[in-house]
Amino acid sequence: MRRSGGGERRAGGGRRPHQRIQSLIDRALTGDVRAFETLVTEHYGPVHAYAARMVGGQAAEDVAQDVFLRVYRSLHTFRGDASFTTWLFRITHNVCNDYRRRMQREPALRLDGPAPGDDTRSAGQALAAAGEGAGENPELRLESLELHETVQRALMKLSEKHRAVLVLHDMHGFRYDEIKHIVGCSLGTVRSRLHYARRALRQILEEELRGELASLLEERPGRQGAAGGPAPA
Amino acid sequence: MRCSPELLNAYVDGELDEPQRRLVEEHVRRCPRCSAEAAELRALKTVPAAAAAARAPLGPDEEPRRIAGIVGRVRFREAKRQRERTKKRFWQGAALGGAAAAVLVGAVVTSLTVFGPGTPFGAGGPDQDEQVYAAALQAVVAEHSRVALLMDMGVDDWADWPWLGWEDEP
Ligand SMILES: [Zn+2]
Repeated sequence: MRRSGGGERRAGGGRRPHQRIQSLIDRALTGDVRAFETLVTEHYGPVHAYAARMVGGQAAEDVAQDVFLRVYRSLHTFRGDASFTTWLFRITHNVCNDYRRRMQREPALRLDGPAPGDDTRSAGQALAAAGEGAGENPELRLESLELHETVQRALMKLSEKHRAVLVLHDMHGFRYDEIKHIVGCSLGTVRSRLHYARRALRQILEEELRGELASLLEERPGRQGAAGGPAPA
Repeated sequence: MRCSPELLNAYVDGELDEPQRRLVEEHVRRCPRCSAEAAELRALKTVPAAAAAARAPLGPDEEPRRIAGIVGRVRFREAKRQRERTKKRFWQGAALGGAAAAVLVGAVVTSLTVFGPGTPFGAGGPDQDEQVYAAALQAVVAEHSRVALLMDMGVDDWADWPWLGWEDEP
């Protein structure tokens, strides 16, 4: 359960993708654009998702592009002692911060649109775009998209620092010591931010959903007995 | 130990080392408040996780298009870099060629001085004129082969290079 969000960053590769990733990086460094393309293809989804959660869906495409261009420029600085994903997310995190700072300085640049957190499209549009939803019940699909949007709205109400750790941990499945590197803070800070972030998220969801949160929490599968420790990962 | 919401979060996340984990576990067993809170945290954690899973996917063509956009820019940059490298190699070659040309000019000047200073061009007789023309011809041939070399290297905008100066001269 503690890794429930982890699938999103573990794209393409088994338990030890290090060597494969490293050889792709080595090839990209010699100017092999195809190797770089593979790296982008395998990591675009999570990077874009994180950007959408941090700066909103409108800007996420630009941010993701900027991230990968920066990655290309600085591939030679990657040291194998960090995991590539952690390194990549550190860059993503920094690009998101830069973007936000730029927007604060020059609000005119802001892509106009609805509230900063909203994803590019409404649930209905997204549903239409996702189309046939691979045979999924459209009602269920719409419901899950609504959940996604509700959470996204709530996330955007958190402070950036709280949002970052919560998104990295609960949505992308990073561990505390990885988040420490991505965000550039201490382990204790990760811990305390996560605590405050969850408390705030709970409060926001409560307001947003009024009485529904309790039932939402009840309905979620995977709930464990109160006293049992976390299942070993 | 006393109630610690931060430790409780770390506990629920499985992020405590073994001694700490046992300590918190023991506390949770005895403290109804922390026990309830731990249960709620576990449930709460699943909400963003479920939302992440429900993320509206990009349209069917959208992600490949975006990736192609990024890769296209990198490809362009890589091609440009390749060309820079070629140009650099060329300039190094040109510098060598320039040295050779200087030797050639030196030879011509020497041959002229043999016939004494102030000797007007052509005054040295047909032999000397021939020498000068041969040198000029050689320079032109060298230039030609340099351009040919450039073209072989895939440098296609050699004609724009001012130093060739062909536009200015008839
Ligand atoms: Zn307690």
